[in-house]
Amino acid sequence: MATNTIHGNNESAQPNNIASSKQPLPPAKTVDSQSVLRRLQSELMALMMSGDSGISAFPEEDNIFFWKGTITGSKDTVFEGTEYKLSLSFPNDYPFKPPKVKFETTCFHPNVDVHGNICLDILQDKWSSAYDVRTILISIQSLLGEPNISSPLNPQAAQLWSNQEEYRKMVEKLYKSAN
Amino acid sequence: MHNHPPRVHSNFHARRDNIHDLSSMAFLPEVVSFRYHHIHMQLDINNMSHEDLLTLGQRIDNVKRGSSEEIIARQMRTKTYLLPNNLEGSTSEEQEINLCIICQDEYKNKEEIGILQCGHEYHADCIRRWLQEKNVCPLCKSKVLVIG
Ligand SMILES: [Zn+2]
Ligand SMILES: [Zn+2]
Repeated sequence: MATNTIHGNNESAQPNNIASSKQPLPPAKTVDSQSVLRRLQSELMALMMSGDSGISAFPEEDNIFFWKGTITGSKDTVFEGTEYKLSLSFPNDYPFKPPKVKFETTCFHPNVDVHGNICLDILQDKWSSAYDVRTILISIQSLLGEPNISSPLNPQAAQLWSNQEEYRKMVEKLYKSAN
Repeated sequence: MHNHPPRVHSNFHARRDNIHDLSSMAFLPEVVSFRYHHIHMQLDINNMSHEDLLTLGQRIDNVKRGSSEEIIARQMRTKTYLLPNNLEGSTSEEQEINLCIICQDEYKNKEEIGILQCGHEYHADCIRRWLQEKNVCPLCKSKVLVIG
């Protein structure tokens, strides 16, 4: 019997390295912008459905790779009742690389510098492709109330953190002048 | 794969092992995807001509890509996702999992799923791409590949 059916392409389950190896193999898998787009769209849907309190985000009108977000300071923290705007800029190979996230509103916080840059491990070396806008915003929201004092971007804020009453006054003062 | 050049006199079982290698998949019996299985059933090496075998050997080499991809492929199990209403072999396990957390897309019928040692599943393409970035499971952060 004629037996080398490895040539035969009688399976619908494609692609298949064996059956399709007549063509040159495709280059190492890269991320096509189509899949980034799809992922950002489903994130947006999920965010709008989730109804999380104190976080929200939405893409710019003409650029789905650039989002504006807001977080509200959690209850029983010195940031309670204050609202912060953030910008999220997604790379072309998102979610394999993290988005760049910055505070657009001044935020007096040990791990936020004067330019709004955030020092948060999940946005840097601890990034995982399983994270998304929602988990990022929730993480930043909880970072507000639980700063990492040992490696501050804002030493003044880190120093003041131990005095929560004074800290709250500073937050209110800066928040009022910024809004 | 240069350790296993195609040999004309190899028997069917040895050849089957090579095919596992050539598809670069580390299979466990229960997740052998039906499409590879299908090929195994039809591939009768003993009756292949010498030329056929040389072609096959070339293909074995062709499948080889960058070493990291090879490591990924060798250490990751894969299976073919079948929709629950597909009678061709869906299991209850497959019915529970229907979303790839990396692309956040639902698994579609017959898509290739990659299963890491920790048991977490993703689209095979999605997890391969991630593992080139970082050698951890996106969900549980356990080390995935034993390199070197
Ligand atoms: Zn996926
Ligand atoms: Zn895992």
